[in-house]
Amino acid sequence: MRSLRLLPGEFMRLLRGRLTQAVMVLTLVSPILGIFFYKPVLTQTMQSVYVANPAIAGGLAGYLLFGLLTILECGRIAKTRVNLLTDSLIPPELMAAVRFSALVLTALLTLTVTATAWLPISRCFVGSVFAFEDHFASYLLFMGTSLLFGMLIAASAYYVSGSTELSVIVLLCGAALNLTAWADKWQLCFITPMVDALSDDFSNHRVFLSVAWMKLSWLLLLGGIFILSGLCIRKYGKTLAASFLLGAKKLVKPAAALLLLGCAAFTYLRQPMTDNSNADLDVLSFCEIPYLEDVLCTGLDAKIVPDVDRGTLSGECVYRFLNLSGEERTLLFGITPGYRIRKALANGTEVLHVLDDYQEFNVQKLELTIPADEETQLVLSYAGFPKENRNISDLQGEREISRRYICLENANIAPDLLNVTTDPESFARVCEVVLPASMTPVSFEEGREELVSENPDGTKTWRYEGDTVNSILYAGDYVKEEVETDAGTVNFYYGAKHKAVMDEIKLRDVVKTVMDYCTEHYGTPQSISEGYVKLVESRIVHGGYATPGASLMDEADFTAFNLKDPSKGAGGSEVMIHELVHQWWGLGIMFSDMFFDETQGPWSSEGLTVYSSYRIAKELYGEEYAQKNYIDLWKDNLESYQKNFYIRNPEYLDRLSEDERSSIVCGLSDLRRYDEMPLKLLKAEELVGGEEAFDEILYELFNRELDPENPFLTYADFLDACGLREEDLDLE
Amino acid sequence: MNRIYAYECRRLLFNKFFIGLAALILVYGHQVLKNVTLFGVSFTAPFSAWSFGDYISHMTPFLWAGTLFFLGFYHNREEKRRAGIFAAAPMKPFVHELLRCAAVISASLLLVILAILPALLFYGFVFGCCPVGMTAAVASVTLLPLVVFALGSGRLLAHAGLPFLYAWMIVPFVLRAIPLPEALGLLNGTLFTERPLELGVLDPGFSLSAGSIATACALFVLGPVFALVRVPGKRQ
Repeated sequence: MRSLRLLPGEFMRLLRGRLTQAVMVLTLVSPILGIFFYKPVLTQTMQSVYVANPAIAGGLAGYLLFGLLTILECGRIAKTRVNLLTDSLIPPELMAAVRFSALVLTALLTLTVTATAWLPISRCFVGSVFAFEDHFASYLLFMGTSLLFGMLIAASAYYVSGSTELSVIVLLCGAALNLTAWADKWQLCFITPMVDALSDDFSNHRVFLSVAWMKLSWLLLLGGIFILSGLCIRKYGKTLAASFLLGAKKLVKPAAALLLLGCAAFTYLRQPMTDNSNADLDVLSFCEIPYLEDVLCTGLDAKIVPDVDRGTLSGECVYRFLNLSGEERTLLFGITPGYRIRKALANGTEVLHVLDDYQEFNVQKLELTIPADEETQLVLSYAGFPKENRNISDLQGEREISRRYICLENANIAPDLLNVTTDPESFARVCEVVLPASMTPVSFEEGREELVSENPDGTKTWRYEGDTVNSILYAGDYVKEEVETDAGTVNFYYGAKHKAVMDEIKLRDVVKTVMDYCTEHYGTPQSISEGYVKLVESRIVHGGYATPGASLMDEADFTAFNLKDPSKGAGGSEVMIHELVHQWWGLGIMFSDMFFDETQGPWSSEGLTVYSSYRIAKELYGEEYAQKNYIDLWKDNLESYQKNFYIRNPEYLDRLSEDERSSIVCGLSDLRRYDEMPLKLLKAEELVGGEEAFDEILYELFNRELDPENPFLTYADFLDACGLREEDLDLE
Repeated sequence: MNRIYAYECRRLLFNKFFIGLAALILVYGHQVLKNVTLFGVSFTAPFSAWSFGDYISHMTPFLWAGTLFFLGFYHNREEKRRAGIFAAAPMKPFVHELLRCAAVISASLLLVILAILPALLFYGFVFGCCPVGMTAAVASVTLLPLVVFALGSGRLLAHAGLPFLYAWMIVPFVLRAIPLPEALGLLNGTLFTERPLELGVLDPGFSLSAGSIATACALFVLGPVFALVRVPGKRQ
């Protein structure tokens, strides 16, 4: 009670101080640093540039400014030696608590004023895609918490050391660690959180959740340290140790501190946002599991219900198996880390299931045994919060389940089969998904989505079908446009908030040009068998992907910011070109591995896709643009790869830990597929006599008679078609 | 004199500030080595002079601040109260001042050694090498001018007022965040990341550009010059 009486007076005193006023004003203007100087969020969506970056920069400045203010305020009384008097009137720990509370109130006031003052500025810059909730969430999470952390660290350091100088060094050390050594570790960047992007067209629920979790861990940690350090406040002229022992006599504070530190450790170690996938991206052990020869999956009915408020999902899958062995069989499923199995029934009887701890590519292994019956109906009921792959933890936000956007892929929807194949003749998958009425579902399938029912709770149940276990589903506030091309109709889905921008850049024309170019040069792909292909705009994923009948591109290339940048070309839609071209290379023509096959070296679908994208860009935007943005870039990247110390001296890799080795090797393998192979193809083009001759070869390869046993296009096939040897394409 | 030098050293080294700073340098150094230096800079080996220079440039702001804090010890309020006693001692103020400078230099060198130590251990444990000569050479070429300059400029600013000294501590942190001309790369560490690329060969030997040498020399000369400048009205 006494502290509450003292607080208003201390708060007003603090506000009257010139130093406090200077700190408040500097913090208020500090977000401007994020627009001009410090830009940690590199993705150029409007909200990233004008909301996230200013808020994060403001957080860093506020951390330092309020940290320094705290140190100076803590040392103010001792500096003038008035503490000899005040300590006899008010216990020093009580005064410290009042002072710190007043500082927190000051920071809160500063934060409120800053967020409010920057609201019209951000809104003006961001334009039609501005979201109020994202603005305030950014300032609260990215900036406000950093101010508090600065004060907690500064006060703790001062209480323990009693030294202004050392406290300043501790404060600076925190900032330096955050900005350098911990810069790419999402759980350690406690001042400037690792935010990949703030979406303009869709929601940012997952990003904010991830930052909030990280900040919570740090708040608990720093709170625990703060309480412990509070015990060190010097009392009765005693030393550090004597003051600590005196303060620790009442067990409440040490117990509270230990509880907070324990909770901090728990929230750090058991964070729900990312999984424990193997860091070695070359290990594909789940793909190497042999299939059971006498068990087939004949069908799958899945019903999933995303909880858009919690970001979780619950689902129930009914698998139908044909077991010809006459014996019990152990089946392996791949489920998304974060999900838990609630129920597993085989022909109505509960079966034991074991969830393996090992995780790979965001998949966890589930093991269960089905009975010897010839036909088995397996019901799997599951629920949970889908974790993201820890190897791309810097790109968190993709697995969004919110009221405005949902992205679910493969095992997020239904557990995948790891050791059972589907019956190619009879297998059918039916998925039903319950969504808020405002959402439009877009399945990454050749088929269309059907509305099954409108439910009394304001939701709608949608159904989509396919012939594989895996499926991908997007849902959001989508607008659909149809573009007629030579290959068929392109159903183009994009966020409703982006309509004005899409109209401005005439994306329909670019889509038509790309489709017509590829159809003319390579033929019509079988992947567009239904006569149409879906082109879907997603939240930021840094690229895209394609499946038969559907291609994905992300919103980053279509932001007003990018479109105003003349260096990005006339259309700013290269990702879309790349993903559409995958309908030819990778889907129309398959490669032995869609992603990476070590035995094929850099040969994969990406090489031909990147090469074709270059040719289209050359046709659309001119030779100079293509040279600068494609060929020169490939050469630079390849040079970086070849020069890398560990590539030149692989023997040193053995000296590193497994995680360190994986992070180096995997980071470099992409360069070979995306940069080395296109350069080899460019060389092949020269050797066979130019673009026209090379196009003819590619046309022949695309339309060749396929061997059903081995339908893949190998590097050897390509070299044979060109009449070249592997060494002919060696790059200098 | 030796006894006074030892006493001044003890004052600087045996206190919570030095112990705290030393601990922070060790922790920060370990984190930089593990998360930055391990990958090597500009295609060079993690144990190359360039990567080590980059590591040292990460540590520079703390070494700079440490040196200035040591100077600050001799210019705080308590010290001014003691000035009368020192003035009455049978020793020339200039000699006493020199002894204090020597103590600050010794303490700063100790911090430099503490910053280098984790790198040597890291190279030894991870890569099985212990390039003592290289680390000493790079540290002396890059750190020595900075420490000398910090000492001289810090002494001048301390005479002008402690707030100036504290503001001066922030400078290397700010310099690391802003782009500087190539000649000033020594000040923000870009020398170690950009020069190996400019040299145009793989694994180039360590060398400084003419601009960097000029900067280092200027720092080395300006330090003592600043140290000798007297602020008007502050003479005892």
